[in-house]
Amino acid sequence: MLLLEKDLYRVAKMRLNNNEDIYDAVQETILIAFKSIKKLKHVIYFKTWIIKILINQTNKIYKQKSQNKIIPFDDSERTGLIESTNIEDIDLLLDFDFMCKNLKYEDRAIIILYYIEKFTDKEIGKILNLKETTVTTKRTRAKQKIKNILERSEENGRVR
Amino acid sequence: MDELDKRLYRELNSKIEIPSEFKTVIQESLNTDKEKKKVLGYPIRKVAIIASISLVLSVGIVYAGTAITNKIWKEPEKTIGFYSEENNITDISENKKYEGIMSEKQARENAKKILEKFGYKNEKIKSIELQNYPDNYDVIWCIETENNIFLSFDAGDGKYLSVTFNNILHKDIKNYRTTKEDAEITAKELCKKYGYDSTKYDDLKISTNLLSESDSYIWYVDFKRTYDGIVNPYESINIGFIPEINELYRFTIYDIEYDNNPVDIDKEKAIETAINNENKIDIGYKIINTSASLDIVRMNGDAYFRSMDYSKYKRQLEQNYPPEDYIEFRTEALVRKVWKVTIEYDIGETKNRIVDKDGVMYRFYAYYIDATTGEIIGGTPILKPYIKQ
Repeated sequence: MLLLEKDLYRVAKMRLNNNEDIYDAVQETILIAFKSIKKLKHVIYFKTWIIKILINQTNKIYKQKSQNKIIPFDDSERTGLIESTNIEDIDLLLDFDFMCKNLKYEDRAIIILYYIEKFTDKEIGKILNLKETTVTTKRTRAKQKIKNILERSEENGRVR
Repeated sequence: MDELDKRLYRELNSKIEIPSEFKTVIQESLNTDKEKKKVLGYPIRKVAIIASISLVLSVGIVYAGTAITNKIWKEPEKTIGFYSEENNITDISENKKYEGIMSEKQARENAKKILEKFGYKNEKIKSIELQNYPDNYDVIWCIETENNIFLSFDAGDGKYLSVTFNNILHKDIKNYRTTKEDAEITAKELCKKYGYDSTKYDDLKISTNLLSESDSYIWYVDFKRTYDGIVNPYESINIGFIPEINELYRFTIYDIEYDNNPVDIDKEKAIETAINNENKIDIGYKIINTSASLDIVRMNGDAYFRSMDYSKYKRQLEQNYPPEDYIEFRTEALVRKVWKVTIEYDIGETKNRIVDKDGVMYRFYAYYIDATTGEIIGGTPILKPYIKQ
């Protein structure tokens, strides 16, 4: 069982919705990792290092797609905030898709790297090239946004 | 952790479905011979690197014996006359050595931001200079304003900042007083006021500008972070202020990355490594004592130089040694947990430093033995050993 398999897939999926693009990003990441393995100073930082490479690759593919104006049908769900009042949507609350639909990329990357991948704010800062304090602030704001969405849903009469 | 945190940890983790073909994608990437042959030069290294990456992707750890080892010491760079006048930094624009560092324009803007942050708007810069900073191999911008405020910050990633508000000394401040307890509170409030979080620093020392606390009018609070009780001097805030009016006199922050490496080498092994190395050098004095304690230090080339050319090393410790001839071995500036092994010599006198026919001899020399890899990663002569309480 490849233990980092889930992490690589989840991180790539933060940015890319299409599985083919995700596979391309991961393959490119592994190749770059082979080429640059000597730059890795300490093995304990392997996961942070490879996640950073993967994020750069997903951003690259995303930009290429945006420039070519190829936005897959699935990705149209990621434009703007969804404030659904459908009771079926309760099942979508607080899962990965919820993050992708309701948070802009940087905020969802921070939330996912923090809560799923269990990185610290400092490590997330290194991965996303942000200051640690910026990561903390953005994470707090994103969490508040999630809280507001949940409270609005509850006000509309749905109980979880 | 609040209820939302718990929900996020629980629910975000439970609903990801990985496509079944994804594992195949990874395995194929690891086994594509065509790509590997294009990238790698030597068969042995290729096998080692493929083995290690496969292992890491599958189990998340690497064993010793592969191409990725846990050694951190690399051959240091020898420099001569690094801090001499001739080596002053004059033009960074064309010099590749200074690629990526803050330009003068950026430094001026950064200085303006910092001064505004501390409540000084419209300060005019009198002088600005880029200097080599001996303490940590960094290159730092040094700025003086017309109001006598001194700033320095590193020209790279901004992990060091020091501001001294000398203008405050011209005010009538000699009658302001405080106590140790209130000084701690004031220092924490000032940190918060200027946007610095003092709560992550758990070691605190307070000092004053005069010997008598009751007469002192400038108080200094030194915050440092600790790891398992060991102080890290490279994660610290030092704040000097005038009590009662709570005006800043000095503010210095260090925020250098610390590896927080584990202790895999025991004390006896560390002492053995230091003594073995010492015995290879013809010191000329007898070792009478050794001791070791865990510490957090920055890697340096001092022990390396001392081992390579002891007579030159001793000569260089003399006062008035010409800076243009000064040899330094520059290493990576890693901050690591080490066994600081202190060796004491019988130098025949009660002083801790003497000048003999070959140069300067210190009673104590400390080796830095990396607590994880067991390598010698630096050292320093000591005038007086620090005795931990």
